[in-house]
Amino acid sequence: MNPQYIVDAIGTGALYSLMTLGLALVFSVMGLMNFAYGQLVMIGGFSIILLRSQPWWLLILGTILVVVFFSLLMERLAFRPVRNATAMTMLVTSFALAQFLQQLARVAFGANPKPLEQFSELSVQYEFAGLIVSRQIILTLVTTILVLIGLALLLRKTNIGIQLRASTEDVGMAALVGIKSNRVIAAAFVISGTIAAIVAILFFATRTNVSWSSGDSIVLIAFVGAVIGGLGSMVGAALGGFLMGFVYTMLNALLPMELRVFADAFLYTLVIMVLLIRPGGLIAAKGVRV
Amino acid sequence: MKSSVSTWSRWAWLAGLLAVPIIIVTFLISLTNDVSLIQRCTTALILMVMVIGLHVFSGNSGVVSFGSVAFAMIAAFTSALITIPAEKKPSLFPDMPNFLNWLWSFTVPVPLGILISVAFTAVIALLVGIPLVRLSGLAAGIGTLAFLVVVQVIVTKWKAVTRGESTMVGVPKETTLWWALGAVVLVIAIAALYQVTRRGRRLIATREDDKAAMSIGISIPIERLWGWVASCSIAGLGGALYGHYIATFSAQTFSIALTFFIIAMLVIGGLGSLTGAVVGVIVVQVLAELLRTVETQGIGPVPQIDAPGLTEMVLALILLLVLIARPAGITGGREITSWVRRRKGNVAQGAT
Repeated sequence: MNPQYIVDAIGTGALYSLMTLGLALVFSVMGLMNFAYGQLVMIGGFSIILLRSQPWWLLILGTILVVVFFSLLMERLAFRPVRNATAMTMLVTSFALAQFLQQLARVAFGANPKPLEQFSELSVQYEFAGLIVSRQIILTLVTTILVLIGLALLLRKTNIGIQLRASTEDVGMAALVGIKSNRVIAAAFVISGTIAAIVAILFFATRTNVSWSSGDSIVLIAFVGAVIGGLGSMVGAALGGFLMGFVYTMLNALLPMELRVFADAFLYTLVIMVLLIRPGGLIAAKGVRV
Repeated sequence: MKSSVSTWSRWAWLAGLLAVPIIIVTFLISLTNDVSLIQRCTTALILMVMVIGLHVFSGNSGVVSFGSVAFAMIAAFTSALITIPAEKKPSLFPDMPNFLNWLWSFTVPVPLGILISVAFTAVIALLVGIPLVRLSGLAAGIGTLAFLVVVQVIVTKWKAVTRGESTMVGVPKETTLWWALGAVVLVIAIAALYQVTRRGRRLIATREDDKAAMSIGISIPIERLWGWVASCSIAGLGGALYGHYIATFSAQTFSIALTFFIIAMLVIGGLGSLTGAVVGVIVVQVLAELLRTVETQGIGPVPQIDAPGLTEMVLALILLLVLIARPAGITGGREITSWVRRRKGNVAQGAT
């Protein structure tokens, strides 16, 4: 087997684990599977197009601000009113919201994909021991590791992080001891939005266009990754997302040619098998409201 | 026996109160001879079959399923494969694998084709259901969603049998308004019967309190499996009817977006009640058609607005507002019979 595949698979896996983290964080705090999360990445894509001519730091900062703004807005306007409804109602609310944002982008930017000027500086390739590694993969890996460390520090060392973890364990109890649910949930949406913006930058760095439907495949991967990794567990989410990306890339590389078009079918059959063996996910958190 | 009499009367009331208005409205619409209105009504009735199908499992068990569209897809393609005239098959499917060559030798009439495809769907649902019904909550959601993706990939990529992205063509277009109406009345009768009799009440008991249900000897997997197979077969009926209605379709027709649309109609109507399933379809379809009319020609003082995506955007916004205003759906998960009985002073007898 060509070890080059492993490098590519790790790159995809790292990106998918970031996607999954943003979704899983909000789920663990309020039990909401936010289907509109993929649309946040799509919004990030369009803000990259609008900010493409700006210096790189402004592009990154601007994209994060725009996405976090939309993330907070959806929490305040759509999810807060249904916070105490059933999981199914919340899920459908997030779906309706995703549809709304998607069609809004279609009306605003048109039905055809908007071309995105390539980030040529990211496609520079290095060679280590016969393996080709692009800057984009290195950047993705470094960012993923930094985000994971940052998230771990935030959740363990800061006041809001500790409150967040307390709410993850038991929202009702946390509220009883004086933790303000509104603040904590808003914080989760800020973090989730920031991660969505970072995912958008890393994801669209290798794409040639952004379209109103760009977010769909992303949320599917994150959704499935979060569940097979283990709901409510951040480590589980990162692992689940990583496995989705890693296994998918490996299937595409290793399956015989005539079966390669069915790679997705194999991947999702594996997902069903994982769920049947471990319905709570690979790393199941304690006391998660499923 | 007294209890069986009340069961039958509850069934007749529930099915009758839902079916009779639909029959009357459909007759009135057929009298208008407005082709586009009749088309819209047919589509809505076919969707109603699929939404009721989903209700039979998700509504009664409280377990999310994203898989119903997969069964609609399986039935639509199965029925197409056996009803396309035999003489057309060699040119439509030049690469048909040898083990399926027997499909070439015969053609069945469409009603029989629909029947066979529903039976085939039931068998698949049973096989897939045996492992899948053991999952609950979001694991069930993801498991069924994964199944939908698997079926979609196979249907899209197995070009020799499904024609892949080049779409199924030559399917006999025979579904009429009356077929769709007949199917809706039939599935309302079946769904109502299921939930007023012992089999369905057991499944509802597992939804209300799984531990209490188990303690009186109800097997959750077995009850869910019954509901699941019934639900997927009804979805299959809807899918087969839809296939013979639009006559040209591909895996893209049975998308994740359609899945959510169906779930949204169920939740907006009110998850947990058959009335909710019916009301949800009517409300969402009427809204969608009104908006579509504005987009194409304008209504009264509202001018025509030409912007692709605007209809869907406003529809999504309205759905969002309905959910925020009534998180439990329009009916709040209660049956139409519970309102009628309340007026008689006999509170909440028929409520599930």
